[in-house]
Amino acid sequence: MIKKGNLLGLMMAFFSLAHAQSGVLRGFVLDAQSGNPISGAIVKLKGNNQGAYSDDRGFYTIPNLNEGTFMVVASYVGTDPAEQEVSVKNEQITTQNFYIILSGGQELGSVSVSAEKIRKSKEVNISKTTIKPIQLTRIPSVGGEPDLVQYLQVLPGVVFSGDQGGQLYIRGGSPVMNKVLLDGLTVYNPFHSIGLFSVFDSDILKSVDVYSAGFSAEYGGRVSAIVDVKTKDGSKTGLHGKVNSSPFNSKIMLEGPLKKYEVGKNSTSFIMSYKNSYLDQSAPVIYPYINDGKLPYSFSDFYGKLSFNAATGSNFHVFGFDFSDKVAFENSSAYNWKSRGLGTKFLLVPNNSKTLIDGGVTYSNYLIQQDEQDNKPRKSGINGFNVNLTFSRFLSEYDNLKYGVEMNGFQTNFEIYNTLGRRISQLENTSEISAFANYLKNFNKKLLLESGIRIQRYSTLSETRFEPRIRMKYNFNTRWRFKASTGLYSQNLMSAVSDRDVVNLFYGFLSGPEDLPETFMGKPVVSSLQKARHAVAGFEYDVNSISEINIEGYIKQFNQLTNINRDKIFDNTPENQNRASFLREDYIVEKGEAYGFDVTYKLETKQWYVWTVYSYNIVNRYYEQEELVKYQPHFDRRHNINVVNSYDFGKDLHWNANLRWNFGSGFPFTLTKGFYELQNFSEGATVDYTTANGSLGISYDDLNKGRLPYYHRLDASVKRTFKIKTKKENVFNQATAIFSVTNVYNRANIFYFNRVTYKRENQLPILPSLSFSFSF
Amino acid sequence: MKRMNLKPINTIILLTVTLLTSCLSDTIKPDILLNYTPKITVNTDFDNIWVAGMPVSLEITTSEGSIASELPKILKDATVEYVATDGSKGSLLYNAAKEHYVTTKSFTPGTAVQLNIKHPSYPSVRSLVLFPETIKPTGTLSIAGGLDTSGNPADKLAISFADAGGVNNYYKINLYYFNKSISSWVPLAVPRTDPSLAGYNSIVQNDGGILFSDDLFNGKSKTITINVPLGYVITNPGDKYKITFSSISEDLFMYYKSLQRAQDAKAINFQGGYNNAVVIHSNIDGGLGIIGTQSKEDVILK
Repeated sequence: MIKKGNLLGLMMAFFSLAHAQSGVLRGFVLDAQSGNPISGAIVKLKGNNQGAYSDDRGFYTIPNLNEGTFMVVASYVGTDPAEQEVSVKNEQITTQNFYIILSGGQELGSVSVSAEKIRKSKEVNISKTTIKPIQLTRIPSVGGEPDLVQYLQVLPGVVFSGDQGGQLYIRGGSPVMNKVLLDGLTVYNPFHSIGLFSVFDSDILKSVDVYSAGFSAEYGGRVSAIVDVKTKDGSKTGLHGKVNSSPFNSKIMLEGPLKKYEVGKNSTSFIMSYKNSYLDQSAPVIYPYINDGKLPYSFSDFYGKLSFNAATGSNFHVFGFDFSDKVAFENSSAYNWKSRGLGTKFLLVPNNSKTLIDGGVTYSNYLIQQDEQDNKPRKSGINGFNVNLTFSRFLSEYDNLKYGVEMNGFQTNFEIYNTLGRRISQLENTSEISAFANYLKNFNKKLLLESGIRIQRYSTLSETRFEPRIRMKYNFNTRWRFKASTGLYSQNLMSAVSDRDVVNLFYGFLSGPEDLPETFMGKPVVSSLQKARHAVAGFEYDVNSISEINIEGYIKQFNQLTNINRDKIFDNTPENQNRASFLREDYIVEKGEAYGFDVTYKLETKQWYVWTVYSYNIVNRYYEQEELVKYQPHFDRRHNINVVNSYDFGKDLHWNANLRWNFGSGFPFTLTKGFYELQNFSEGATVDYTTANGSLGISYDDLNKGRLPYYHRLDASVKRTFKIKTKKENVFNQATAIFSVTNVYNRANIFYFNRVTYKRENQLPILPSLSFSFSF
Repeated sequence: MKRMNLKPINTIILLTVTLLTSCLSDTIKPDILLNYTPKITVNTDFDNIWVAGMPVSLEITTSEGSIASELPKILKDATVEYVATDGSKGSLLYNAAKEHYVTTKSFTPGTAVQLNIKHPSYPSVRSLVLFPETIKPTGTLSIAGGLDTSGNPADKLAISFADAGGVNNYYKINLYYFNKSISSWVPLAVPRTDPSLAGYNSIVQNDGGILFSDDLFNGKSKTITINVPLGYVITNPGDKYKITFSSISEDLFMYYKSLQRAQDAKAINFQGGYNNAVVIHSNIDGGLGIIGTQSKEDVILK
């Protein structure tokens, strides 16, 4: 266990690691008209190779400059560069913001090719995909409106389990092993029950970073993957908004200034969005052919954010959300969940320090309830807070140091009644304190080595984990790059559903339990944590200036996983101690591994966007009963192909056509081996089994030995954008009509198979929709 | 930025190819889901598990019974062939009177037998069975030498045997006493006083016998002591006891174990409908059923 004093000392050591002896030029690159940060702009000293590119905050820094006066140029694709004469002094930080005038209709989401090239050579972006809002519009979406969940499905290594109750599995990790952050706030259930929509409105997104393996020490508390969603600020110059309506849902988004942006002055803005689905009501009218028009899913999502931006680049945000979801099956179960959160986020740019400080305080609350016909409450809740502070220090053009601390506290409250009416509950308070440091060092601008360590203290379990993470990239030349990463990961949160439940809408959470089996595979279970180690290696190759290939192989070893025990049939009481532990304990320990590779081809021009991914994954799990049993979990999809094709055409590129085709090999399932007549002998030996009618007994084959048929689906959409003149000169409102068809060729993809009725249930059939939106 | 030179016709071709490719039919056989393939079901008669040194027989039916709402259909025209490690090979032939496939051939302890069963209407099945090695137990009887759970005098029986180390061994113990007045062996329930007969790896059978494993004494000598309540021999001089001690195959033990677990799981449901399926153990490759084997010894105590 590490003492707090030692931890502080370690942090201070990193803090004082570098004191540059030269001058520093830094600042922000902003859109002159809107005040929005411009990501991917290049800031260079004229006649000199020294320079930097702006990050997603618009921030750039050029350290280690000799004293002198320089002409500095900030450029961004398709714009006139901004030039400024800047004087830099030794031991001083010079701040210079650049304001670039973007041409009309230019999307901030697109990144200039040259800046992207620099970024690739300066960052160890292994197993990371950054999604910009413009990319979300490149795939056909159900109901027309782009949605993050649709795009996440086309990422390498991501498997989506279905249209209804579907979840995302990232490189062998189940949903509870993936942390989804919204501006630093943990969102426990980011996807709605129908599986076609996320809780995030695509119009509020700034960027989404998906780390599918080998992520850096900056992130912790999960053993598989991170989805880091960042929202944009509201418009700083004028009131804007968007309304949208489709057969699935409607939404409204509003953004505007509370204090208007002026160059070099402070500004305040807001953004809010509300979407509400009515599919349960519209389906009987519009889609009567789907399950007799019964699609009992509904949801609503609200998000709001206030942003205070100082002229120095410092900023402060307050945001909150209220997401809810409901499923009500006829004459059966009903599920509903609510997810609420409130948070603050800030960035401090101290005048005389080379260190940027960002952090936040967040609170999140999630509660899911299941209503059965017996009216007994079944619920699972998790609520908690997070406080985090991160320091970023740019040591040279390539090198930087990032370190920080984080504190999490959460309470899980779980209560269910089983079929015997027995109440099972757990109320746990958990706290975690962690610190991390990441040091990125370049060697001859060829080799980038990012060494990191995360110290994760699980106070409730009295366990401390030291998790080293090493990531590297080697730039062979401007086209070829090799990258690799490895690291240790842990988590203390488990799902209230088993990884062996194929579809279970009761998506609750439990704190990592302490009463685990005493041994696993003949060794004592000494830790209650779930643990994993990752190793990833791959190549990036730029085919030309508009296309690239990314190949990555990975292995995730899940050394210890905790799962709800679905084999429990006895109370864990003294009279049952002679029963095997796996028949009476609440939790089981498993181990597992996931490995594979994926190949991604991306082509992007002004008109074309092509994204093709092939993923090969193998996921194995092991559990112990009489002997060690190996099985493939139900989300073990071996082959997964995604092809996305998007094309803008017509006058002023007002037309857009999108296609997405997904092919996936079959999921594992447990075969029916045979049937027998299940007689009820509860009345003893007097039962006349020769005349009694038994029920259908099923003899099962080994767990998940069979494979379901292949999955494939084609989605398509056509979009027409209309510019509508306003009273103001050169200011247009925009109307958009999107016609989309999900499952164009009406492929009957299996959802599940009823063993008793011998009836096959399929995923959603062909689903045309027409949506309209109006932006002002 | 370089503009890509893709003509509309190329785009159409690309999209058409994509569409046609995706319409290809499944390569996985759909009958894996929709048309259940009946299988051959092979069982030994449970009162007549294959015993080393005795002729063997099989009942061969199909797995359609429950779906078709009729009794299991006995297959009379199957071909049943065996090859054994003792060098023998041959067939089991259908006996209409017994409704079983029979042979006069018997197998000695330690023999492995490979069975191949074919039928023109069903997928063939195979099974590899092993006759366990014989255990030579010894027993003692101490008339009124023990106490029962109520403190009354009881006949004390002890049976000792040596367990082979390095492998998992499974046993079955049955207890009988010979009632002179009716001149027959009467089964008695074996009391579960020994830890090996009371733990999770022990299963009580309907005939009063207990299946158990060597978990607690692997590779060692073991003595099981049984105090027979009241004591039959005390009160009925001339009566005697018989302990039937069998070494049974792992397959048979696993079958009973899984059956027991399935029954327990059926009786109690903790998971609100989400229990994992219990897989009933089978050693019929490609089919259903179980062929159990045992090598048994009787120890008479008087």
